[in-house]
Amino acid sequence: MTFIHKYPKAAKVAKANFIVAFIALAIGGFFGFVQALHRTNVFRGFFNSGEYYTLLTGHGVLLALIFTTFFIAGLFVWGVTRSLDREPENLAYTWSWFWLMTIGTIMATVAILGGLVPDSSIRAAVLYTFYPPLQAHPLFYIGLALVVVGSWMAGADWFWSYRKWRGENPNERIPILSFMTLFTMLMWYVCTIGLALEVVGLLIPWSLGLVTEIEPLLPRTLFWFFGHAVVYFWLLPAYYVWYAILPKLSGGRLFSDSMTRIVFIIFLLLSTPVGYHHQYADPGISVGFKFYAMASTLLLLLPSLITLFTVVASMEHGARQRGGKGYLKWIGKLPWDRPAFVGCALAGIMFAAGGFSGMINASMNINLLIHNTIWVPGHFHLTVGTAVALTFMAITYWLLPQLTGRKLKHKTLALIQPYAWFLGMTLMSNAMHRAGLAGVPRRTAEPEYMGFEFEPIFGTMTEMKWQIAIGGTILTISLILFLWVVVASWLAGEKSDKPVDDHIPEPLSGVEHTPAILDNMKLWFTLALVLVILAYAFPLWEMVADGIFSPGALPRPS
Amino acid sequence: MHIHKFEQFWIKLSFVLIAFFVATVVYGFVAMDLKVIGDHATIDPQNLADTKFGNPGVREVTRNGQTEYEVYVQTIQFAFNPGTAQPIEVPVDTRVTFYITSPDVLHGFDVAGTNLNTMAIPGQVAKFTTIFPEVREYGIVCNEYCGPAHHVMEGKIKVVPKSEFDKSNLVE
Amino acid sequence: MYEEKSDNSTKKLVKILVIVGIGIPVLVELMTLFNLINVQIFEDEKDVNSNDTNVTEVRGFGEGDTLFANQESAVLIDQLRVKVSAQEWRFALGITSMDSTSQEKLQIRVDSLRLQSKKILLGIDSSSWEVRQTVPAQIYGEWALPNGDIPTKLFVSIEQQEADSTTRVSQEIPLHKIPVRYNQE
Repeated sequence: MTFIHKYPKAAKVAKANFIVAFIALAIGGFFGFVQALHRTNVFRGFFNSGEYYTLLTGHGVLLALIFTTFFIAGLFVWGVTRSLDREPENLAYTWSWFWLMTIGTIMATVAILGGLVPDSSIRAAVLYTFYPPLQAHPLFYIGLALVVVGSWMAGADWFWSYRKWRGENPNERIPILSFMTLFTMLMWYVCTIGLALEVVGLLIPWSLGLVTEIEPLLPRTLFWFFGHAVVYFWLLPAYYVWYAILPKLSGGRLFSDSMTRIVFIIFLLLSTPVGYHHQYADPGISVGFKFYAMASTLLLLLPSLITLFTVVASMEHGARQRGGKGYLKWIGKLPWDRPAFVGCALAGIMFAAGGFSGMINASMNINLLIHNTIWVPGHFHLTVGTAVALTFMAITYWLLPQLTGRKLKHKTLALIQPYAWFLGMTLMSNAMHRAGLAGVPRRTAEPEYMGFEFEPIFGTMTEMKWQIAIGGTILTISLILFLWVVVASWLAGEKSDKPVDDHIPEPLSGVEHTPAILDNMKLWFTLALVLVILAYAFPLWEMVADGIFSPGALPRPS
Repeated sequence: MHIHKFEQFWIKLSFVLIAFFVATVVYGFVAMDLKVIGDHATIDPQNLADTKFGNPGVREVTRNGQTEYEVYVQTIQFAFNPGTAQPIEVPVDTRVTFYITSPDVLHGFDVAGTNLNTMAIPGQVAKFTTIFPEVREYGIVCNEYCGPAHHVMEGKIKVVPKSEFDKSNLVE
Repeated sequence: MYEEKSDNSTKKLVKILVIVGIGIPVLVELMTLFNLINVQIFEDEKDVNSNDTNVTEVRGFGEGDTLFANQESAVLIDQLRVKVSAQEWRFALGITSMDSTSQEKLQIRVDSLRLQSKKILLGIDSSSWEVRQTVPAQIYGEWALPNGDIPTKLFVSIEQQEADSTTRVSQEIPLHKIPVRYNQE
């Protein structure tokens, strides 16, 4: 018996979400490949430099917003159903949020891809941050709004299951998988307030022509109200995998239940009030608010460092169970021949590296050296592009058999895949960081300038350019391997009652040691709102006081 | 609650690390004068003509008995004005204050390879002061996506010896 | 219990994967670290200006420059611009003849245009690639460009019709920093 046999309805929902996620991954990944070759001038024959920004928008939206959201929805359906031991409460409701998100995705994708059709007026080359006054077609904003509303409904679905479960189990602690899901969604509710205000309150009426002028700083600020917490909306499900599943994959048990809960609470509290750290270089926001955001950001290092400890400790425990010895020799005893383990472990290592470049980004005045340079995508390809994406791919190797009742096919290819991703990403990201230090900008089709040359600290621009192109190519190969393994296993994997070992053992320091206050969702949610109000009320009021749409700028089609 | 003693040690270490990072930034602020852009002024992006941005360029001012320069720059799709058609020329070892704004969309103003890096946001005036320490040329890059020809938007700053600084290009 | 013991070929594969997939990344990062420290500690401030002199700027033509300067019928570029909008990129060129005496029988023609992408757009293929005008000698034309492309060189010829002979002079015009501006129309 595995998941699909016990919960066939939930399995179907989770699979539907994964299908959309993987289609988005395939298209977005292909765009990424084109960009890697175009930017570096290795090959510019796919699309011209005007269309580059349409591809870049597609890459960002499809991967950062669509792939992640749908994969997370599938993952959480699996976790909530399993840990509460109940199918979704009302399938009509469950399918309605799935279809709402899917329709929204199609609308946004059509708006973006319209930019590749000559003379089309349906365009959305505004990148995934869509800063006005650059204007996209209303379809783009409405589509994104539907995706977010759908995700809210999904969260409500899981809270619904939780309440029903609570009614039947009044004295039990929230199971850890559900705890992590619910706290991630609480954070999502807090941060999407900003996005909803921006998109529904400002951008949709403006793109429909109901208002002409817009004040660029206000929507930008509201975007970043959402824009950093969204990073944790991607990351927390990866943490969820590292806490709940990775210890098992390495042959051991989770180190500490209470620390896991504390980490998720800190993320709920601090994810949103840090948004100004994306606006260190913005005029119109005083230094004091930026400093407050910086202090909160650096404090967010704490839960990630705790995670590092807990995850490494859990893996060491697993390795010692498998006969590992010594201070470091146990590392060799980890299952380096299992794709699911390898992917999660390599993703974790890369997240540590991404964390350190993130510290540079967070440090306000040091940030100015690399703000909006290619260093920044170099950084977030380590975090969201590897820590999150590679974890999701790796755990698919373990989840998919549970959802389909079929064994994984092509295990050798699946094993090569995470190693290839790690290699490709190191090459690409390393060169992007170095080029960023020389001032090479991000988000540009042709980073070559007529009037001056960039001066790298060491190495040459040519060498970095090739490193990016080769790294991007290896990543693409790795992505193709992943998709091939998934499609082949899904369609033709050997049917089995027990296609994978899906048992998750209890933590070493279990829930009985966990203080009850950690499960008090009302308390932590209220506290999170208070912190957000402290960070944002005054600066937002300053921006709005002179009129919501003033000082106003006119729209520019993208 | 049970926290392993190694974990307690690790958490303490984490706090020390965080404190160290905050201290680094504060040290930069206080001791090295590494400031970030703050809140300066708002402006009507559709009526820059009536402001100093209407006649952008380098101005000479006297502050505290010292000769300093102010540079007003408009970032437009897809040029720096001034900066693109002709370089911004300033003397070496002199205080130069930049005022930057945009009449159309978001742009970036990044002096490549340095920490002179600001957003240009319609409606807001970005202000920062610097002293160029050596005679050389710098490239200016627009580092925020600003439309289909974003990648051609570039400019130049020319830092010249004080003796060679040509005051005939100053604007009033 | 479900652990299928990995056989020898898998063990060998894992060894290779670890060496290539983790070894190379570690090496790349160590080299970066070494170079950073090396530059920071052991290398003196790089003389940044030293290589500037090597880049000799190719002086191209721009707005306000004269073409066919050594001819009797010199002409002036009075407009040179790439106009960009969301949908299309256009190249705009305006030329004025300078000398009013010789303009009557003057024909100016854009033969072809070389783009940054090394593509050549020919003047003869389509009428829109032609500026052909006799009097008055002020001409203006716009051409659609492939999105994202910018002309780097212009091939222009003028034909001067004398009493019974025609002199045809061609010139290759490298373009320098064409202003690229948003097209508000």
